[in-house]
Amino acid sequence: MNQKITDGVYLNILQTQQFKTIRLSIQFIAPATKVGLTKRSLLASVLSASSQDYRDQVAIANELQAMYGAGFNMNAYRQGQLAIFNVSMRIVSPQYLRDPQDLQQQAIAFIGRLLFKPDLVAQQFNPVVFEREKENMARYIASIADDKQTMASLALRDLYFTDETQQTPNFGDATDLAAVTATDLYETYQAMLNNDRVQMTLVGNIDEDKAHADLAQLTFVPRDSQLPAIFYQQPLSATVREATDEQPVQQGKLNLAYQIPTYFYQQNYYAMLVTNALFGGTPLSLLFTNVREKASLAYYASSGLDPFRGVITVQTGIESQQKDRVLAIIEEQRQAIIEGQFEQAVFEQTKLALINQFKSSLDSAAYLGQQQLNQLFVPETEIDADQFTNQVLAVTKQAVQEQAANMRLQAIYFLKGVDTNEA
Amino acid sequence: MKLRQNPRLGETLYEETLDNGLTVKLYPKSGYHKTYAILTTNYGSIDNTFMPIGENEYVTLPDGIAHFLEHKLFEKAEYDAFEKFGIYGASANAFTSFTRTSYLFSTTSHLQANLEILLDFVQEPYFTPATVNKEKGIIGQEIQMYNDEPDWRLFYTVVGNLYPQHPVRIDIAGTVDSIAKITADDLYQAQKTFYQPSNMSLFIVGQIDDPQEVLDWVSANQAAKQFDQPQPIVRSLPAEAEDGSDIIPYRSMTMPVVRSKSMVGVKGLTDFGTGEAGLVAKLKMNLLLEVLFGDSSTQVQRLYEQGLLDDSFGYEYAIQRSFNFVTLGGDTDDPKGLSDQLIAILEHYQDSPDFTEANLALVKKAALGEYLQAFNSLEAIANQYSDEFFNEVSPFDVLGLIEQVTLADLAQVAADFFKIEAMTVCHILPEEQA
Repeated sequence: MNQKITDGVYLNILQTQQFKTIRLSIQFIAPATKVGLTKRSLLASVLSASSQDYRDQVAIANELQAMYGAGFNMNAYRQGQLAIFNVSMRIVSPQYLRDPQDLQQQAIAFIGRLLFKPDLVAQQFNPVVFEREKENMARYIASIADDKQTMASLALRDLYFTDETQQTPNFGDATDLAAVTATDLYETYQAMLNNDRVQMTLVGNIDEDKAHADLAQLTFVPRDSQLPAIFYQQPLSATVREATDEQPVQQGKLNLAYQIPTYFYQQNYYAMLVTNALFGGTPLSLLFTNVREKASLAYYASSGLDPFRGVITVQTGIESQQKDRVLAIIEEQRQAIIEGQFEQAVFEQTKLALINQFKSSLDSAAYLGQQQLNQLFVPETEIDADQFTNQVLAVTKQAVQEQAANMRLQAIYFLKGVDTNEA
Repeated sequence: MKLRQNPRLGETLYEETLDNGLTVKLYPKSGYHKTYAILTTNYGSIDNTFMPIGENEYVTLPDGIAHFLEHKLFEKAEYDAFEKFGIYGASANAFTSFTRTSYLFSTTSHLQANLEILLDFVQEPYFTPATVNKEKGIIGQEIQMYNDEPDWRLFYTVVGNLYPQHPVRIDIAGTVDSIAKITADDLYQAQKTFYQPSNMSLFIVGQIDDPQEVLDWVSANQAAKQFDQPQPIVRSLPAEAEDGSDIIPYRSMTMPVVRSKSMVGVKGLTDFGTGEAGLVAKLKMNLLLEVLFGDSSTQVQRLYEQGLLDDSFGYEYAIQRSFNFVTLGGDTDDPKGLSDQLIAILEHYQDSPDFTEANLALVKKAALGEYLQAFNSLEAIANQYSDEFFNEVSPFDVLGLIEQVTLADLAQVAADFFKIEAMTVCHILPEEQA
């Protein structure tokens, strides 16, 4: 049950004995903007690098070690049209410690010191820390070029999306980053702390009264946070956008984007879930069996569904000279689904695989926390295993054929490998 | 069944060795939806030269055969094992390391049927020249993909420097040329020798309602099959210089990378084996590396502030049957500066401001907490405790072993291990600097 702490600030407690840990998370949520993604990523690095109480990374590490190796993460990402700044911790449930200590209270105090007492010099983030973290982030963004799989997938998104915020990777953009000043970042920080919707979530063996008392250490002012719908939609393009880059790599990457009119737990969602799984979402899928296994054309070939942005992407690693053949075979697989040319057994098994995946994810405290968050933005989000099972089993062959026909190829990105003459 | 328990954690592990020699371990986790089972054979990429069962001369099979065998076992005359797991919605996978090959599935229903699929497809080989040849294209792609990855190349160059003879220097998947030589007969020969039940173990963790019933399923499946009498496995490895004098101290190469990469390797010149001594060596080295280079290391913080390393910095101690070595490094603008500094910290460990009782106490506390947290993950439990290091030692003994470690122990490990003659360096440079 999501409880209101004050205007715009909420607490959700999920009581369970399943885990040896307690998971705490605090999300700051705002509308996503292009430059905002970059600034919030940098802010996560700066706030988790030092604070008034923790001079440097070593001081922070020491505190986490003293909390029995508590897991700590601060990061920023985008989900649909929302920008989410996440702070999360994982601590051992004190009942399992030989010498129990109040880890929950300590963890929350720790988060409070990082969030509310940042490392400031003259009302600015400490310039030494700011510049160093900015430089590290610039290096990180540059290093993506070395990871061809990620590079190709980002290039496809850049090609497919028409909205600049959606084109931008979660971690931001190098040009925007170069322009960020310490003053800008401090403004971003204050706006986030005072205006963002705040969602706190606890998962584990939680004493509710104690949780409220511990969280009272974090004082959030009331706020009026207006958020857009989480879903992003863009108009269909009449033409398929294509781009090719050439690089001296042994393996080429061919990635495609299909627009779909289907969103997270909205109309036809279960049918689209099954369609994607059948197309390329599982090892039994048509892409896997026909591109990888039967035709021996690719090392990997799979599809992924982004139900917050209405897109299915296909990613493959191939011999570059096989590009046209692979492209044709991918489209043939979609055509086969439209025409109902798939085995009934594979169809049934695909559904069971989705059910297995859903139930398995209930064994992760992080997933349970994510599920709670999704439900806040999309109230239709299913969290019950039996309900989910029934809905998936009810998907008909005809519904899947219709959804495959609803997939519209919109973008083709090709990273072409050129001969390196390497030994 | 033998029972190992930890009442405070509320965790229990059941163990049994079947008549045919197969070790079975069962680890129920209440509240979990999933069951994860992993069948492992003590056979990996380094086991290329061996005495086939019933013969008295060594053979050497092509590099990459253990991994190739792993791929090929899924395919049968009548069925594909992946698809068979799929009938129940289970997901399956497999992986090959230097010394082990593992086959696994996870499921939320039909545990018995899935266990039988697992045992049957791994224990009933079927290979034909046609299916073997087709696989060469798929694995060839896999090998090429790894060749494009700079971090992977860096790692194998360091291992190759440390081990000029030992097959650990060779890619687990082999090379495009070596796998081209693999035949169906080679695969049968390897399977027959290394997939004896006595060389294998089955670990099942997660939702298990009745451990005895699950054991009975496995026993019945095994009793219905014919196996040869268990025979000892005879492997052969090339000799390495005991004093490390054959180590190649330095290699560099250029690749299309944005930033340089620098890695230091240290070869363990003592073989600790894979019993309790090996496990203790592993725990101590991990604590030592954490003390010197972990999150609370002021030395690493200093290098970070100097811009010599970034978040990509990492270290690892690999200890398996017949080899053990440390690797450490990451991305840097000054590859020589970074490797020089890392070697200096290793050599002068005793002067390190981090080599203190206080830091060790924190590092141990964190290690204990992380060890407890790992009991959340079925995969972590199975992958860690199905390891041969846990043949004699119980998973629940690890807490005590960590608590016992002293700074004097770490000084001993460091003195034995961090010798300049046991070290090597590799740098990868961007092409334009070449």
